[in-house]
Amino acid sequence: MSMLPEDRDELMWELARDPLSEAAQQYRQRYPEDVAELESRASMLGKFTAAKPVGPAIIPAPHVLLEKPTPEVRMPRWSLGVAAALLIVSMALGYMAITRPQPQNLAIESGPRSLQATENQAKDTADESGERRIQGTNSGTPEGVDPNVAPGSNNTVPTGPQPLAPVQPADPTMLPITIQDEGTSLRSVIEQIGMAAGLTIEFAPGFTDSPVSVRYVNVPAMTILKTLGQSNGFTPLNQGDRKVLIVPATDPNAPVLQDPNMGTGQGLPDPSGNTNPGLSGPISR
Amino acid sequence: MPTDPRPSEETVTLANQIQLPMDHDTDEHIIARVVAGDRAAFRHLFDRHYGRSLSVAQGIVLHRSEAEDVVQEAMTKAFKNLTKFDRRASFGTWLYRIVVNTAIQATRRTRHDRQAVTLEAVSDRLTDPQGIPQLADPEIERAMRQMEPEDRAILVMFYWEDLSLNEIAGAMECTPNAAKTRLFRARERFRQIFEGGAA
Repeated sequence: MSMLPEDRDELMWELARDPLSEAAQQYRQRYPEDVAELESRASMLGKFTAAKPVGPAIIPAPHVLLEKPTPEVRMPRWSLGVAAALLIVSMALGYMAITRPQPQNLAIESGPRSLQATENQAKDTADESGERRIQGTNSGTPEGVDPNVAPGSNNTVPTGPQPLAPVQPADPTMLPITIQDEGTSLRSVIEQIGMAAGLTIEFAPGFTDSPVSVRYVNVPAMTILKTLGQSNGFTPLNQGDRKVLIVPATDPNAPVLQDPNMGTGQGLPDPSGNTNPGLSGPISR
Repeated sequence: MPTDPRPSEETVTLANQIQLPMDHDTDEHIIARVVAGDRAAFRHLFDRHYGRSLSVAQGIVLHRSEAEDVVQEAMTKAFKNLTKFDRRASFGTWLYRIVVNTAIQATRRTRHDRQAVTLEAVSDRLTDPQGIPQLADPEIERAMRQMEPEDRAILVMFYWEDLSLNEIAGAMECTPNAAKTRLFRARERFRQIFEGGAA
């Protein structure tokens, strides 16, 4: 480190860049004690400057111009916000779908006629189509069932928390429907039942039509068809896939459906005031 | 018959196609053309600043071909960021900043690579161009190699390229006073190494 004053040191470095200048000569005359230092610095800087590499003989082409220009795709900033918002919303919906309470093995029909469940302690019976029906003897309080409803009581209209959407029965032939008509053709009645339950009715050859009067309130479609079949000489055969074949024949060994409500015995009162709710059966033929 | 003072459509089209001689254009004019989409105009900027950029880069990395790569990389960065050039300093100063930063990064990368070199690669290194003198004076080169790349950069810009302290400050991203202090220290270090080796 030089012990010279800072301004003199700076001046000497500046003069050392051009030691032959008039200013350098004057400095030497004024500060003869610094001559050796000035010569040393000038020598070093002279060598340093002389070491500068020679310039390029040929200037190459810029590589950036040899590349194919790539179109710059710039997304507007607001699109990032929109994407982030959509992501958050989708995550929230997914979280809600996962954490939303699901009704556990419990189905309440669209009609208040019956309540389906697989409750372990429920007494159940099998109807003709193999469906199991709860008769209202729940000892537990599964979700969706009002715990205040007395076991075995006839009131099966759910008063407790309801599932968000009514669940249709798995078998469309068990969909309870209401139909009332007088003096209309049997074929038309069967077709109306099919339409109401979303079934495709097919009539086998030999089916004979006849006028009937019917009134059924909240009775499963298949039950109505079977009851009609017993009194009108045909048999409804569930073909699956929502198809029902009407065969103009009856099984003489088939049990007679005395109680068209198929053992549930539950149902809403007939809006017409009939004290015998449910299936009223054909009024007349 | 009165003549329409407005130039005809053909005249306007012709005028737009006329290329002014780039050699007399300012850097700012050429930059404006490049930014407007005339990529080829960048060639003039490149040619104009290549020599000094190469000198600065070679003074930092102390290797000719590495310096050429550094300048190409720096020019590419400059081209791609030309729209960000704010014109507070000259294009040259802005470009030197990119060259210096790129060269310092390259030096550190090379140093890291050398530390990881295996014994088997030593024989290869003996024939490596690194062994060939890169500067005209081997004593100067030896002293320079013992300095930090930042110190080499400031000495090269001041003594080889005659940049002012203000320009060096712009290139080194510091104040002129800081540049002056850094130049003083770098010069003292160089002198200690140079005279110590020469003694």
